Amino acid sequence: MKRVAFIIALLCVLSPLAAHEGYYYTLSLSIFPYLSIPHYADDMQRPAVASWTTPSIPHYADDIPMRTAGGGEVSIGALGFRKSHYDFSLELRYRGTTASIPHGFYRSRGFDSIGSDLRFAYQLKEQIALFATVGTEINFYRGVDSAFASFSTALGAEFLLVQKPAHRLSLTVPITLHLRKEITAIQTAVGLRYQYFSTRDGR
Amino acid sequence: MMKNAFLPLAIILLSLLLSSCEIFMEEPQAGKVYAILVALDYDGLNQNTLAGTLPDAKEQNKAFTALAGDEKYEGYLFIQEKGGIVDTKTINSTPIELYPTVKNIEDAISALSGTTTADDLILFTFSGHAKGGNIALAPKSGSVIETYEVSRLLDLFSSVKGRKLIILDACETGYGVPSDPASSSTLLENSISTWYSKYFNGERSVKSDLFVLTSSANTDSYEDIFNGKRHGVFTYALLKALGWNVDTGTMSTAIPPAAKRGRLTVDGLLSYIKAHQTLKTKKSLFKPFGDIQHPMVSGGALDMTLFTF
Repeated sequence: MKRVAFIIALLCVLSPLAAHEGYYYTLSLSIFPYLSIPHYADDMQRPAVASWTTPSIPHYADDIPMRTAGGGEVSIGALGFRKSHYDFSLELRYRGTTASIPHGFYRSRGFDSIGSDLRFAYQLKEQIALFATVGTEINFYRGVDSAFASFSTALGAEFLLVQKPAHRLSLTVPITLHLRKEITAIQTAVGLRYQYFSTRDGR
Repeated sequence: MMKNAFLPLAIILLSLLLSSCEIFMEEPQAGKVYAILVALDYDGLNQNTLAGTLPDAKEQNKAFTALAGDEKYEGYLFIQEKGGIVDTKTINSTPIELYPTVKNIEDAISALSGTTTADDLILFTFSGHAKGGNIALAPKSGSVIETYEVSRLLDLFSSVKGRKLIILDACETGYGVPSDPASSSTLLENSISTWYSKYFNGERSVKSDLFVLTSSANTDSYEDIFNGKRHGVFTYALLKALGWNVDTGTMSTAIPPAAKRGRLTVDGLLSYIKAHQTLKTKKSLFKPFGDIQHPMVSGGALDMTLFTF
């Protein structure tokens, strides 16, 4: 795993040095409410399936249908490529999620996540694009020395705010599913995405 | 264009805010607090004596009494000391001898299981010797201690209704913390491949109402002298976290220092202890020598409230 992380980091650093037409760097920031949804007791009867494509199993029952937290996310991408209507990037991401609002005798623990995403976008109109991401992350519960792995996938819209030859600034509105082992969480974020084209071909 | 962007965003955010369950669903009221406090000084038994264990348990009992209020608290002190008089108390109409043998403690837990409700808080504390997740209890007779698996203790508590917190101040008690199906302790399983294999291993997660807070993960636990009084390093910090003043033997009237926004939680206790215990929690490049003691708590997605203020 360390070797994989090293190769990804190396690619991120070296690839844009070629500075081909369409390559870009990117920085994204977003904030979101975070709704974690465990399943009800009857779901405990379902068979466990060990696949991230069926994330709802296994889950646990909670006193309330979902717990509400919030958070923020920062992504940096050094491996971005844009051509015609298409846009691909590999991004490294930090996500901070707060503890949930206390209810009853429990609250969800807050955690910090470090992961990476593959992002694909398609330009629908001049100012509107749709995008999707898939990624994975390691999450560290705050203060309790405990960690877990998870996967994330998002769908969203991107609205162009500013465009210059070397820069693009967009408003992003993704809905993200955080696929944890015992919880499926929904994030509805609002964010900004800045792209820098070193060859000034952002238009 | 901006209008296009903000309309769906506003709808999504509004719908999510409106669906916030915490705002609209009624909260349960806290019930009674029961505590089983076990301490052995091993005087007369085949182990090194520990002078801080008995004060630890007795002062925890007073601190919990003050936090819960006399009328809502029932504490049972199981004490082993050479020449000590053994009391008997009735739990749910079962007379229990308050001497820390396996049988007496199991009988006490079984008796509690018939009397508690889902809204009650049940505390179990242990101050003494342990090794590899087994605690050392007193024998029925003779001087040879009886080891007792923490996992057996937790199994027994699983039949007791209510929120349960097991507090263990003894060596290597981290090995007794149950493994969470979804997350791993970074103190005991610090490997990315382990974390991913847990995701895929198919083991089911259940919401646990049983939390375990231990003084150490895989190291020894220590006692020390604090202003002339001997205590466990962990329990001394725990008592401070609860608002107990060890020097004066009194409870602060203020909200306990480990409480945040009027709630004292298990994670709040752990954070306070880690920040305030006199031993460091891990060795570092700049502090490579000396004893360490890293408190630990059971994993999982939830933190549990103990007391509200």
